[in-house]
Amino acid sequence: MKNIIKISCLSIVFISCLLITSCSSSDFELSKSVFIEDYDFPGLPVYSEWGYNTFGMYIDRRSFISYGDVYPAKIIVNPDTFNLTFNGLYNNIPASLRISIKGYVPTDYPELVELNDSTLDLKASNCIVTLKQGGYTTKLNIIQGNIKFKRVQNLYVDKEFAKTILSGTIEFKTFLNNEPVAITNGRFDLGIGYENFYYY
Amino acid sequence: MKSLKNFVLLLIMLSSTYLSAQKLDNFIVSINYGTKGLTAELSEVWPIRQDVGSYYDGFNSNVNLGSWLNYAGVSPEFSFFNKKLSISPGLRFTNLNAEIVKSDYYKEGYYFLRVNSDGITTNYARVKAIREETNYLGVPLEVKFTPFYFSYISFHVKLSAELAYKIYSSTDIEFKHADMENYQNEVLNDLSIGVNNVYSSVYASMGARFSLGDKMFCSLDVFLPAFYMTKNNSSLVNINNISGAQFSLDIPF
Repeated sequence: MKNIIKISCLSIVFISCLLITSCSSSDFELSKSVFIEDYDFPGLPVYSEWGYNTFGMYIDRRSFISYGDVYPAKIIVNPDTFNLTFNGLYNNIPASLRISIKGYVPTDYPELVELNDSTLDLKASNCIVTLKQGGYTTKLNIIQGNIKFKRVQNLYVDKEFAKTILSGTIEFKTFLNNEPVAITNGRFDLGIGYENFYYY
Repeated sequence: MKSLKNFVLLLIMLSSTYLSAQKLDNFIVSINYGTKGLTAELSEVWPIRQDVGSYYDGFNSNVNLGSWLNYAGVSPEFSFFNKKLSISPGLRFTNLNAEIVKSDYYKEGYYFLRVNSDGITTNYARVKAIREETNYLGVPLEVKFTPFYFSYISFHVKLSAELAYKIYSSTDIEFKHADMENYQNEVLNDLSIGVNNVYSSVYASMGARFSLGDKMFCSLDVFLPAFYMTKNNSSLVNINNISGAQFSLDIPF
């Protein structure tokens, strides 16, 4: 009896390992960042809708882009606010731009397709934009601007659901260090999945 | 470029017409085999996710492009003006291959091919390789000038044109998972994959003919990059340049 239980437990552990490994390998491939430079806008990635896990924008003339092993974006829904955070490099220093939308509460990433072909006014009363750099977080006073979710699609690979891809553009004007600055030519192409969507 | 091609074709046709009125010095049947290496870029027709030929953050995104062309044919050669000038029509079978293979193919590497997309739903398939083969049957025409003749070797330059028609074409997608094989026809239909029914090129070459003794010769020609080549002879790759070599066995009559 004891041996049967032991064998069953080992089998369950073994099968679980296999399942976890197979799930990890498929996510791993789609989690790679594919940075193809836009020759019209040096330093920024091309606009794409492939789930290349990249983003980029100019803050005045300097680029703020996704980089390295850091997830380019995370979505945190808690408890009644949707937070989209872009993590990248600005002035060679890690920086994060967060867009928070109060009242929008997707409970899982496939629901993000509701954003397909939609535009959010960043100056709206339920929208907060913050910039974190060098350990300091600044709530940005938006002069004008928007974020466009040009295409949001649910991605299936070999007929199995894999990720949700958010692709779009962003541009706005705000103040940094009491000086007006323009964030221009912003584009993003992000794969959202189990590893970077949080609802709690 | 089109006017240059037309000029060269006209030149060859006029030469043929003129030479056919001259006294024939020599008649040789040539059996030839040639190979051409092609430089290529990925065609934009195929919606492949990963960038071709790149490493990103240490991850292997490399996909190897390959393209090559082989042909075999027979050409009667008619010589004039004391064998200085000759003209060769002929019959030629051409085989054109192209492939896109993941660089770690033998380690089960794969890339993603977008199968279809309709707004908010997109389907990718994991693909290890895509291979395409096209066969053409056609007529080459060569005008050869041989300025130097020695006992066992002669040197020549050629101007050649060829026109061929597609007799066979197939594209094969090697999916990572056998379950997706049923998707192949749907993918190819959705992408409207097709190759040009006509293959034509104009090119120059230089070479040498060697005597093998007792009325037998062999020739070796090296092609210069083609002046002109038809487009879309492969749906996988855009062919940018072309060069190669030809070996011939020449039997005089």
